[in-house]
This record gives sequence, C-alpha cells and structure tokens, in this order.
Amino acid sequence: MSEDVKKTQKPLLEITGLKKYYPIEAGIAKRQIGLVKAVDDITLSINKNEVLGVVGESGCGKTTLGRTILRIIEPTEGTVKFHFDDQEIDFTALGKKEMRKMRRDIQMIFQNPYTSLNPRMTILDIVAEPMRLAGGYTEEQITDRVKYLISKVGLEIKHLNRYPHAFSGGQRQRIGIARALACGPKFVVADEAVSALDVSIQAQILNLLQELKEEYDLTYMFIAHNLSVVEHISDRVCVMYLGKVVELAETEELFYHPLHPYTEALMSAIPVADPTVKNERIMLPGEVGNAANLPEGCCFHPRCRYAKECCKKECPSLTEVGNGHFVACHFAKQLSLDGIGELKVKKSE
Amino acid sequence: MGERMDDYILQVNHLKTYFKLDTGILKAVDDVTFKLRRNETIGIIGESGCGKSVTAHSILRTVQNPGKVLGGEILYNDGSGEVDLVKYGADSKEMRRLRGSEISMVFQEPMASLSPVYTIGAQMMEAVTVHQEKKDKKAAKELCMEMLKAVGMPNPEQKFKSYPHQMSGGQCQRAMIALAMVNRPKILIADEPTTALDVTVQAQITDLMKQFQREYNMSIIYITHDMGVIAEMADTIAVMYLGRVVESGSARAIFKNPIHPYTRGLLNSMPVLGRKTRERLQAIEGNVPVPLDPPEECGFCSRCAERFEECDKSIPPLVEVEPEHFVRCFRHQAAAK
Amino acid sequence: MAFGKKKKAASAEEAMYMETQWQLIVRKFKKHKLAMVGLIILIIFYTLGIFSEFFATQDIAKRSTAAISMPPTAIHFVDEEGHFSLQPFVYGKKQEEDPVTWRKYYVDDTSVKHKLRFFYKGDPYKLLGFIPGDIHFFGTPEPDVFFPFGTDSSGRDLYSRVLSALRISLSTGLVGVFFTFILGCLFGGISGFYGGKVDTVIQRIIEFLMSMPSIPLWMALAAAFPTNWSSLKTYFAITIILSLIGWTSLARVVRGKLLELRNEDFVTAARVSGATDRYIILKHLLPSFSSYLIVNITLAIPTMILSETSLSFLGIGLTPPIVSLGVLLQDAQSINTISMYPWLMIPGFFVVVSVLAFNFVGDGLRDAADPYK
Repeated sequence: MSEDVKKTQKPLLEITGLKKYYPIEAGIAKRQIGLVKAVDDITLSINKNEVLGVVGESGCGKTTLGRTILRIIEPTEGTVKFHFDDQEIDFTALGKKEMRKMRRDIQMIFQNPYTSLNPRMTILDIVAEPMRLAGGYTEEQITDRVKYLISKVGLEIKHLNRYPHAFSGGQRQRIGIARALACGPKFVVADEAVSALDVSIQAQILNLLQELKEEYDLTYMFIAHNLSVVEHISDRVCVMYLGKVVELAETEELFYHPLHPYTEALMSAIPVADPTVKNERIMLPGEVGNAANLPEGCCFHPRCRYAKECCKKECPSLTEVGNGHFVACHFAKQLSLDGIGELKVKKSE
Repeated sequence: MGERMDDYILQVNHLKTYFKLDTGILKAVDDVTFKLRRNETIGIIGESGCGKSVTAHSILRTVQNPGKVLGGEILYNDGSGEVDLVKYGADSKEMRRLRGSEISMVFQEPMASLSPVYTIGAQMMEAVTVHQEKKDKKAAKELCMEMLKAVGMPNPEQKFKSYPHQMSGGQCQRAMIALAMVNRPKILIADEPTTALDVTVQAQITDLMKQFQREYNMSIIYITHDMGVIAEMADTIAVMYLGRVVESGSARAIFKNPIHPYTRGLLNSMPVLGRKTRERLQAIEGNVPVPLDPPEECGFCSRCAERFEECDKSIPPLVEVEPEHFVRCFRHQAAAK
Repeated sequence: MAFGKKKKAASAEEAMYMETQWQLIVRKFKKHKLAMVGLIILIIFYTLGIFSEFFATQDIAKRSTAAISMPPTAIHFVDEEGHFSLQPFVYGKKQEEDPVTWRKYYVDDTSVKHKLRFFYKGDPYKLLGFIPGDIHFFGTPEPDVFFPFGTDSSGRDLYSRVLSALRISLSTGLVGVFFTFILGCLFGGISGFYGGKVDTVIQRIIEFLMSMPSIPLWMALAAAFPTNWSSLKTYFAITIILSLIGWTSLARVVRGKLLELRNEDFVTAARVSGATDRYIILKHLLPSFSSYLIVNITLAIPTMILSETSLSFLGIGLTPPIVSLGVLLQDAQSINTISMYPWLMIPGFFVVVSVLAFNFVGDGLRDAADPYK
C-alpha cells in the first residue's frame, strides 16, 4: 500500500471515547458503591489490512476492549465505527437485528481452544454455524465452503464428521480460525489466540494467521500479553495500563523508542532466549493497581520511577508526538527512555 | 573448578514413570537422565505433555495414581553420601523427611497449591513444625516472618494472617516461595512458577529465586516451556520431548550450538524480540503425539525434517557429542563421530 | 499382518473420534461396574414389578387360614432319604403347638412333597390390568404350600405382595420426579438465562419454598383431601403438590449450570456470529446440560422412593388395601413382630437395594456425563 493511499483512505475501524464501567454493588438494595473502569475512554483507529497489537498485563482491560468493540459486552459510552467500502456504519448505534446482520463482517478468535468449540457438535457443524446463522447459503454451498476452509487452515477434509475431542489444542485452534473466517469477515479480533498453545504450535498458528491475512485482506486486532509475539505479527502496537491506552506507535518505533515509562519497564522485563544477552531490568515497585480504585492523576504514577508532583494530580491525555506515535505521559518529550536496543545488550565475551 | 565439576547434588539416571490407563500404558517419563550440580540451576524445557512435571513429581515421589516410578535411579547427595530415592517407598519416613525440608517445590498455580482455608502463616508454621521433633512455635514464627520479608512480601505482618484469596497472583507466588524456602531446602523444584504471572511480576519472581540461590546455597530445578526465562535462569539445560531428554548441556551450548532437530526447531519457531521481519516463523510441522503405548522409535521422528531410515527402527541413545553436551539423535551422533 | 492390525486399530480410533456425546457416555458408563450392577438390578426390579402378577405365586389378597404368619418355605433338592432330584420340591407343613408357651409353630411334613414348577396354572389375574391370564412363572400348582418369603398375620403371601409393592413404590416416585423435572427446568432455566431481577425474584421464591417443612405439610394435606378419594388418588395428589414445592433444588442446579454455560467461549462464538437467544438455548445450552439433568433425576428418584416408604410406614402416605413397600413394612413396626416374624422385614431389603441401585446408576451417570473431562 503506497503512502498516499494510506493517508486518503479512511481507517477501517474508528473507536472514539469507548468506555466500559462496571458498577460495584453492595447489599440487598444493590446500592452502587463504586465503578470498575475496565475500559476507560479509549480512542484509536485501525487501518484496513493492518494488524494492531494490543498488549498489557492481566486486568488492563485488553480483553474487555476487544469484546466491547464486538458488542459481546455493551459499551457504557463511546462509538465504534466501521468503514466498509465507503460505507460508514456506527456499530454501537445499531439495533439488535441490524447488529446481527453485521456479524458476518466482524469475527473473533478465542484464547482457549478447549472451551471455544462446542464438544457436542461435529467440526462441520461448528464451522458451518456462522453461515447457517447468517443465512442465504444452501446446505451444499455451506458444505463446500467448510471443506475449503478446513483444508485452508491445514486440516484434512475427511475429518469433518469428527468431534472436537479428537483434536489437539493446535488443531482445535485451526478449527476456531476456520469458523471465524466462514462468512468472509473483514475484521477479526484475536484474543490471546496463541497464548494457550505450545511454542512449536504457536509458530504454526502465527504463520497461518499471517497467510490468511494476506490472502483475504483481513484486518486484525491482536490481543496478547506476549510482547515477542505481538512484535512479530503487528504493524502497530498499543500498550494498555488500567483501562487506558498509554502508548500507541508503529511496532519498530515502539520497541526501539518507547516514550512511556511503563512501556520501557514492560520491555525490560521480557526474558531473552539468549544467555549471552545481558538484560537491563527496570523493576516496577508494587503491583498493577486496582481498576476499581484508580489512583489520582496518572494511573501509573505510584509505580513510575520518573513520577513528579504533577503526575499525582493531573491525568495525561494520549497525544501525538509526531510520526503517528501517541503517548500519555507528561514528560514524554523530556525523558529519554531505553528501547530494546539498549535494554538487551550482548555481553562482551 | 575441577573439583566442583563432579559435585552433583542430584543425578537422575534413566528414570521411568509410567501411567497404567485403561487405554494402555502412558509413558509419561521414559528414560530421563540429567545431573544437577550444587548451587546451580538446571532448566528442564519442553512442551505440554513432554513429562517435565511428572519428572519433578517423580523426584519428590509424589506421582499421582495410577502413575508409578518403574525404573532408573535418582541419586541424592546432601554431602554425606549418595542415596537412591527410587529405592525409598513413596510414603516412607525417609521421603517424608526429605520432602519440604531438603527438597521442596513451587507450583504453577499458586492459588491452587495453597490451601484456601488456612492463613499463609498457618501453612508456613505447619511446614516448619512438621519437620521438628520439639515444636518451638515462637522460633518457628520468627523464621516464617523472616522468610516473608525475604521474599519481598509487602506488609508481612498482615500477610501472615491473610488467606490466599486475599492476595494477588504475584503475592501468592511469593508466599508459595516463602513456604517452599522456609526450611532452607537444598533443592528447589520450580514447576512453571511464573507461567500464570505477568511479565513484570515474572521478572520479580525469577530475580527473587536467583537471589535466594546465592544467599542460601541452593540448587534449582527450573521447569518451563519459556525459552527466554530458561536462558536467564539456567546454568545447564535439559530439553525434553515425549518423556525423554533429547538434548542436555550448558545453557550456552544449547542456545549457541543446538544439535537436536527438536531443540533447533524450538529455537527457530519463537519470535525473537528485535528481529522484526516480514518472514514467516520456522514452525515445527505436525502435532505433539501422546506417548500412549509408543512405538520403539525416536519420539520426534514423526515431525522431524531430518529423519532417515534408522529413526523409526529403534530409540536413539543419549550420547555425549562434545564434553558435557548430550544428544539423543542418530543423525547427529553419526556426524559427531 | 502387522499392517492389517495397525489399520484395524486406526479405524477403531477413527470411529471413536466420530462418536457423539451419547456414545461416549454409554461407553464410559459401561466401564463403571457398580453402576452396571445397579442398572441390572433396576431392570430386574422393574420387570418383576410390572409383570408382578405373572411372577407372583398367588393372588396378593388371598388369605390362607392354614398358613398364618408362616416363615419362608425352604426349597429342597434332596429328600430325607438322600435321593437327589433335579426338580426342586417343598414339604407340606403341619402346625404344632408348644405345650409350655402355647405358641403355634410350623414343622415340615416330610410325607407330603409338592414339586415346584415353571409356568404352572394358578390364580387368575389381569396382567397390566387388562391382559387376562392364569399362568404363573414359578411355584406349586397346589395352593397354600409355597411361600418363598413367608406369610403375614392374615396368611397372605409376602413374596407376591413384595412384587406388587415394587410396582407401586418404584413408579410413584417417577410421577413426582416428572413434575419436579418440568418445574425445575422451567424456573431454573428462566432464572439462569435471563438473570437480573427475574433471577432475584425466583431465587427468593426458592428460598421460601425450601424452608417449608415437608412432613407436617404432607400430614395436613393427607387430612385435607376428601375421604371418599381412593388412597392411590390421594397419594398422587400429595405427590404432585410436594413436587410443586420440591422442584427448588433442581432449579438451582439448572440455574447454576446455565450461568456457567452462558459464559462459555463457544456460546460467545455463536453470539459473535449473530445467534439469537432462542438459538443459543436450543442449540448450545440444552444439549450441554441434558446429561446433568439425567444424573440429577436419577438421584432424585431414590429420595422419592424413600419418602413414599417412610410416609406410608407412618401411615400418612399410601394405606391398605394398596400394597407398597412402606405399607408392607407397617407390619414390622414393633420389636415383638420383628423378633417373632423376622421375614416381615424382607420388604425393607428391597427398599435398601433399589435405593442403592439408583444411587449407583446415578453415580455412574455422573462420572460419564462429562466424557470430555
């Protein structure tokens, strides 16, 4: 894709001010005593044919974000707009029926291949389900398409009548991918799609996802906690902390020139599979805060080694510092943080 | 240095642990051999179902029914001479004495391995007093508090009285380590201790374990599937596949000069940080088989790109191809000779 | 040769991979030995109960004045002279009296032998209430000589009465369970699927119903029904009313299971593909917990059997002339009777065995219900 096209084209997905708050209730009367801000005012866009990686630690709201975009969880506030072939659809404003019609265009791949397939259905029925639900296909067309998809994801057509219990984790994940692709979606949320798999199988699935993306012009939102995997597959990466996006940039830019102290610390913690590399660790004091009781000001300040007075009072907003690099830190321009280039140094022999 | 070379605290030779199931014999551990030097860390790496956890439980003799240790030897030397743990009964007095005091274990799911009905303090106290003839509660409590502080538990006095569900995953794992370390064991077996934790917490826990190793002179058996963690933790590495050690040697040798096709495949299939390319990963084809009544062949031969006619005829032996570097592969043994 | 074997094993494996959930459950259930034993016992009991007239040795209401409180008749293969005969026989009985205590007792009259026969012609009956017949499975064609479990104080054959009681006792439970099942599924389903306020209301109702004491309620109801109703009719009415308040525990199981399943990834996947609530319930949820329901029902039946027995024993459930295991046990209420006529306890043995059998089967089903774990 050339640079000008990229600029003129509208992003495939535009998320504006998306929020998901869960009330904390107590007592018989269900009095609201607080709010869990699982997703807190997120604005970002995903371009067509792009892979946006979303990283963060458990409880940062990355899974909720994915599910809120798909309206598996109804957002509290904010809009999710899709641009399909010059057509703008405000997904959050759709009624139940219209939303169901849209379902064929947006799909999901799940983390756990053991719970995401109904053990009581054959592979044929599982992969055919989205098509049957969408309607407009004959049974023959469905069977043909299922056969095509199953061989596309690297399984044998003769196994169509088997039940999921006959397959290993990696094979099941392939079935889950075939199901997600059944109706020819344009946008797929992959929620920790490879984290439950073994290393050698993980590589197979990552390759498959990349191949499918190229072949069908797919756009992924790739949610994961493994930074190496995200770096491998993503074009842009978004780092989340306690329901907020703290940094968003092109993959290389983010990994080599992080601007948020949390990103820096996260990267320093990744173990490197090379005993000759010396890993500069930045130890974060304490633990991830509680989304039900966010600290005042910047939510990262209690653990930040660069925190100053203003960080405790004012919450920085996500601003562009140039070159499509967004960061939510008061001192983004002043600090000079280390990327993986500096953090992972070869030991001199 | 030369003297230290032979100072092994634990030597596992040809260990076999089978599970007799209705459907056949599951050879979960089938010929595992490795040596652990005093004050060093051995990393056991492998994918799910390769038998790494069963190996750990075999050493502690806590394999669950219907699993049984059926052969091999586990030579433990606490400095006063070698004893073979396989010869002891799983529930013998000797094993009970060793478990928790000389060899202890940290598990993957801290929440699941701590009892939800007792406080952290009560569980630690029990671990201390169970190995004492005379129960000295006051001294035991002091020891426990000291340990909780040592693992960096925030607010140790309060945490001593807390239940596991009142703590986060990272704190639970710290408590678990405190519990495992409270008797100053000579060997700590860590079975995927950080897999369920976030990267930043993982970094804290691995650093903590390394610090303890230095302070208390202990040896660690670190079991994981994460190549990155093992590179940071281990001095020597044993790579397991389908119940067997397929390659073992120093960490440097394994990462710099991996010989077994499986080890190389594993290293190549990982995305490497900072090596951003549009290229595909080199995945190992196929799926991990289940070692249920396995045929007499190299376990990896069904997925191996380098197999030749000998591979499915017999099981290759573990051979030393260069000093302290063992490989179980027909092709590369021939090449080395 | 070896190749052929391998191929055969592979095709068997393939067949296993294509097995449906029910095939897997059956396979796993068959491995549970106790459950299989329980199942066989239940099949035998139900067969005996349903065709009780055919298996009985005589009419259940027939009184033999010559055989009041007679102990079980011994079956002989060898006579007093040591001759072996393949066809078993029983001796005739003589009544004698203890000269000191004046207590009457029976002794064998070895001069009279009655041969036992299969398919002999005896008392006429109506099988299942409408098929007339007079052929009995096993016994003596001569009346009043063969009582396998002895007789009661009116001289009625206990064996024939136990068989008949099995039919009543094993079937009345089913009626109660049927209503419990329908109500439990309905309310539990609504509560679990919709959640929110509906759930809260139903849960409060369940808690209220669960706090009602059932035996006093039963006693009050038994007194409240019109006296001209037959005992069986009253009993069914009470059972239905009890199941109206007894569905609560099943409803809780259904609700819990639904709450668990509702958040399963495969349900979410269906929702992402645009599935409606109705589709999700019918296609994913119901098939997923049907096996749990069956387990629950199997385990609910013995409770019903036991409550029938104990209520009848207390005299507030079924009452004579209806014959149920509880009614039969009424005869064994005093220590005196038990010490003098211990065979009157035999119906109790059938209660224990049938309840155990149901529990074993339920246990086996529970283990088999989730073949994927």
